[in-house]
Amino acid sequence: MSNPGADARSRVDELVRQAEAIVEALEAKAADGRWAMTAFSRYRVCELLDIPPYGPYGGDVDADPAALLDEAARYVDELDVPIEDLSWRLAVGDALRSAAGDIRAVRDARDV
Amino acid sequence: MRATYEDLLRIARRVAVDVHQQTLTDPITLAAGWRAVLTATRHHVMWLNGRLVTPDLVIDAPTPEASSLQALAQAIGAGADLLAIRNARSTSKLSDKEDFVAARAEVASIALMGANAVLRDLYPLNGGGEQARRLHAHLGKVLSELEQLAQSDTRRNGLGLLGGLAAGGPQLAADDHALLARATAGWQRAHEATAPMTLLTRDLRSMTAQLRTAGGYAWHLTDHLLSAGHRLGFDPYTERFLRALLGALGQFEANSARVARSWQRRLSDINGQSATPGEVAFLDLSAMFNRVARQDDRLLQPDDLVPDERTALRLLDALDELMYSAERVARLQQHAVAGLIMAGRLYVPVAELVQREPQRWPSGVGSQFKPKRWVRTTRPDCFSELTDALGAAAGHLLEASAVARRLAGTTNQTRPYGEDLAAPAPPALEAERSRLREVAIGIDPSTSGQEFDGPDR
Repeated sequence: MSNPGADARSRVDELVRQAEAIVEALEAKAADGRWAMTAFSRYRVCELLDIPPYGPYGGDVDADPAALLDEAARYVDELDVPIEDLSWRLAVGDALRSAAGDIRAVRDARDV
Repeated sequence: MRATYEDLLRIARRVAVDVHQQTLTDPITLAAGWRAVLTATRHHVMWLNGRLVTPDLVIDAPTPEASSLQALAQAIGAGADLLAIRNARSTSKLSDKEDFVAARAEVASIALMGANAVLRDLYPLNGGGEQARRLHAHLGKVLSELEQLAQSDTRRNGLGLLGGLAAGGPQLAADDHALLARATAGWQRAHEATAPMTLLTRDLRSMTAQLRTAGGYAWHLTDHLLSAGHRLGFDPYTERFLRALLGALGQFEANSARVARSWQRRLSDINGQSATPGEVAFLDLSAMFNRVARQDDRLLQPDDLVPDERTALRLLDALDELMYSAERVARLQQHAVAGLIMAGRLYVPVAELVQREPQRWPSGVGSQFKPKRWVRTTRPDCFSELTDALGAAAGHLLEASAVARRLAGTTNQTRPYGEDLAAPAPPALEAERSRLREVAIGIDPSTSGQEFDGPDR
């Protein structure tokens, strides 16, 4: 029997891991110093979800990381958490959205 | 922009010129004004390790309303205040006695301008009663002393490092750029207030993420300033410095990314969220940056971020403060890591230690543990990759900060930093008090409210 809460949480983790791997690949090859601007918000997301950054990732790295993080934020909003974790859920949602915003801002700046 | 000691003395001189342009006709106002100027000057000179021996003027009448002379006293007092609240560590460099001689001479010559204005106003009063006569006699005594002091600067080469002494943070906010500068100073202070040995690995990781982001902000501002420079017609020197800044920031980011990877590969993390004051302050800094440089999810175009030269200058000021604070935070992190390694508080994978000390471990131990097993060690060579990258990153930030200071024209500023472990010794006023303050005899200093406030702060 599947647990919908655990499913949502693992889906969030998967989306964040994927987005993080994509951005890490982007910042490693870009000469644009702006990617560093996303470091703190990404750090906060990983810290709150307990995901180690810069780890190996074997999945698909051809997607829009900001959209992945937005999707993760929607899953987080629907997570069913005990009352003592409500502030954690708020913090994660906020961190995911600000990371998505930072990534979008930097990505669009490169198009200019 | 921070107010420096030199700025305050310049303002005092300007106020002294104002005093010259006005005429006071009431002898009591003149006497009270002059007494205030002399008291402020005496106080100021004492903070500069000198002293004035002429006693204060005694006034029998009640103190009249404020005059231009009292404004001068206030301006002279502001410089003394800056010396009084200076930060011990930032002023430890101020060892040049000649700088202090030059400052004393400048203060005395400002007071002299006031004294000459008083003399000029006193002349048409034709005697003007007892108070005017007393003031005249007093001026006769004090003028020669002030003149001697004003001529004591034989070097005639400005105030040196003392002139660049700055206290407090960037100027009170008038616009978003100044608010950004203040937010960076607040971020730096929050980190300075945290004891380094209380930091955990996750706090150090957070610091690295904050520093990288701050570096990214600086990179972005510099890049946009360069783009706007073509339109605004920056001179070639400014452009060259901006490019140098961009280069230093690029090097910093490369090394900082190495630090971030080292935290991942080398050290374990005790689970939990970091909540140091520095991290909270960084959220403010981040919000201020977004207010200056972003509109919703879009970074402003160079033309919108830097519409005119005035904004460019403000951004250069903010950039200077950002680089200065980032360099300080990077140094704090470097020192904290060194202290934590020496105290054996950081972790390394077991396999790493087995490889370095095979004789201490039974054979096969390294392979038997999973890579995620961690131990604490004081061996510095287990951390060399991390410490090398930290040192290199801080070095490139120092370089970037030096360039940003040249761009903002603040190379000579001595800024306060760090927690004050020992405040600078105040001038010895106690011994002087009984001899100088004839009027104060018999008055309890704790209740009179008229005493010098220097040494008790």
